[in-house]
Amino acid sequence: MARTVLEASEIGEKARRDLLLLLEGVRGKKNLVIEKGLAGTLGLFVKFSTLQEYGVDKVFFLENDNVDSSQKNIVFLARSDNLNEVHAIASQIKRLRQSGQTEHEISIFWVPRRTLVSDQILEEEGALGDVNVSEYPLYFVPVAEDILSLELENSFRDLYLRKDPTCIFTAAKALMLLQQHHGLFPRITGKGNNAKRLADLLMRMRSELTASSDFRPSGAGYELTPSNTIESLIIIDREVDFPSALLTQLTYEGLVDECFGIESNQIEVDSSVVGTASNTTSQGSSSGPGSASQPLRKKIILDGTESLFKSIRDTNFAVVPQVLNSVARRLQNTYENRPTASKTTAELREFVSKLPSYQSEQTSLKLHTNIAEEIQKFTQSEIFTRILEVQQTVAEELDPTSQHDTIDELISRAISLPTVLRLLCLESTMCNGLRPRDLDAFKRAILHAYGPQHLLTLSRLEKMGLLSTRSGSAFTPAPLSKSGSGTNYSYVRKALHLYMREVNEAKPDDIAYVYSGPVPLSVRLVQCVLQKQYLASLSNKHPGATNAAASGATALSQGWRPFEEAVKQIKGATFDEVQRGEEKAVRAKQILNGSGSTEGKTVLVFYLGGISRAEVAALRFVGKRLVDEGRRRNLVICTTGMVSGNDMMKAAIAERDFGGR
Amino acid sequence: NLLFDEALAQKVLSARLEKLKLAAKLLQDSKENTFQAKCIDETQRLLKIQDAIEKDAGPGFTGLSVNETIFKLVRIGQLKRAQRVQSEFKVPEKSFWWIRLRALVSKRDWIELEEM
Repeated sequence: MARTVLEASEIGEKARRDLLLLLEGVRGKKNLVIEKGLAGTLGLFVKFSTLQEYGVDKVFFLENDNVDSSQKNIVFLARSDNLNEVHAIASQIKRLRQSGQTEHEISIFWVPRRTLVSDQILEEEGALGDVNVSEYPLYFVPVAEDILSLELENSFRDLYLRKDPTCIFTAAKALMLLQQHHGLFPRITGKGNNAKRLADLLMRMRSELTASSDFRPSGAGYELTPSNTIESLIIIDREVDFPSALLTQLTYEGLVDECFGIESNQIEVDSSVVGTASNTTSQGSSSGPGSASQPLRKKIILDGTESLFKSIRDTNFAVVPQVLNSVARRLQNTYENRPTASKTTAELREFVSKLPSYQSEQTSLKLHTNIAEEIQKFTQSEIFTRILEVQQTVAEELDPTSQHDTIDELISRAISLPTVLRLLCLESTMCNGLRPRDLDAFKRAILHAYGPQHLLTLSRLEKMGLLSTRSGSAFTPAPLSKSGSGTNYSYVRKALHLYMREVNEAKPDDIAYVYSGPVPLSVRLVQCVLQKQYLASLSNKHPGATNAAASGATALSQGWRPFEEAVKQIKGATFDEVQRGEEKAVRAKQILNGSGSTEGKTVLVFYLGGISRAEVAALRFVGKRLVDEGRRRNLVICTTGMVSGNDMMKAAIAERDFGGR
Repeated sequence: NLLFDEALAQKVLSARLEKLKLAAKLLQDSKENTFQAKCIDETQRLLKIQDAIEKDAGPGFTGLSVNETIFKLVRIGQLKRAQRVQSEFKVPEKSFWWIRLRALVSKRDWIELEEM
């Protein structure tokens, strides 16, 4: 078993091997039927050509319901937690049985595991009989080299609307697998009720593992020692920090997400945007698979392999044009230097060998310039500035009610519903609800502007706790749950500095740059654990803030100390657990490894319910700062999926309307 | 609340299922969910009006929201009707002007725009 530092590529490699192994298990040529949501995910680590090498003839989407009987073997690949999918598979199997003249051999691979429910449904539909069912344990998928995602697109809806804990279980399983690889997480710190549940689950799974390994004495002690590569796990529940996901993200990648919507590192844009830039090379772009009927859309893959994108993805959009400009100038210079440089053949050869890299750089430059232009069109519109204005005011909590007129106006101008809802939810979550009178007025306006079916939308938002009426006049948080209900923002804002007035966008000195002002609370929480001195120094600069934090803040204190007071004011349960192994084993390990230095250890940050791209950028920034402070850490971000405010709203919005269209 | 959700889901089928909504409304009356009851009531009126409009102005109105209905009415030049819808649902003056403005622009009716 490899005991290296956690590496994303390694996990991706394993996922790939597992899939191919399963495919190999099915003999001969086969047709593969995948759930659409999974297809993108798989695309992150397997190429279609590789699948073909393993005998996959055609790939169908489960949703299209068009499997033909051209091959004898049919393989279904689907998530087991989605009941609709299971039903779809069952009915398709039945249809294949009836129509096909050839005898089909059907296998189903459940991702990530086989569940009792799915089995039962198949049995009821009479499809279980002679089907090969196996599991494909796909948990974490590397989205970038420092991000692992479960890619559960519905996790947000499941957790907060339907209160379905399945994805917590999946997350726990996934983390358990990591623990088995790398040893126990020495420390689990977290915030939020669901996060607590996840941690409890981890503890229980661990004791279960211990119990079962008692029967197999060999290699049992191994799993139980705390890891010496991973320092700690920080779990953050999305519920703790709705607002930062609701704000408009202002990093480049975040804005791309806001404008086009990134799915599994891919975006779809009009080919007019991309222009001819991408046709010359395959670098950074590939046309959508087999959809010749829609030539206008183009799929672009965005990931860290492209050096240019990597350098700008996390910067504030305000500086992106400058960066692009300077890169363009540099490229031009190298081209102009060409005649002087090519004196000797050796130099010429050197230049020519560099050409491809220049070319690819140029195409990616072109691509991003075009995208940036498109985004600029969007950000320079009047509506966008109005929206930002509202957000900034609310986040600063100057006087949110003064923005109500603006919101009203935006509603009557029929801007998109998710945007409006985001603004309202932002205000509601930050100020512990809206005044009943205001809320009713907004509700009426929304129903008028977007249709009566959104009565459902609104009630769902209320259920998720995103939209609420303020109970009472003062800050008495609404009784949502027993332990630590609402977040007291006015307090936390001061204690943790959630709004930075001066933001240096070009040379960021604080994570506030990702939203140009407001600071994502969730990332501040991570800083509470990792960057205590920095936060404490902030408190000193601002004399109005609590000074208690500054006194006890040393790099040595662990867990939430000394920020317990502030953290307590935030919604949800707080916990901090230390996992110890057997005393003897620990000591043996310490002798082996010398004194445990924290140099270069990995810290896992797990976002339950999704993370927004701007927060990723902020976390990366925190990681960089830790290096600057001489305390190198590997920040690895784990999440159930990427979210943006629009995704959150989409979870609530009622799709259907009157008129039956 | 759940019952009301169901009612909404079923109504999608067509406007004829208004009766279902009525039932839902009766259930609402008992509780203090006056706001929701009012909304459902409004929805019914909207559907009826839209039905009436469709009879003389052509299809494509059911399923629209209040604002969209006004927008469309202005667009096809039925300002009076639009104003009636406005008063019926107490759409604030300000947003009504916005809607009218947008509608006229999309119609490229610059003359009437100037008259405003």
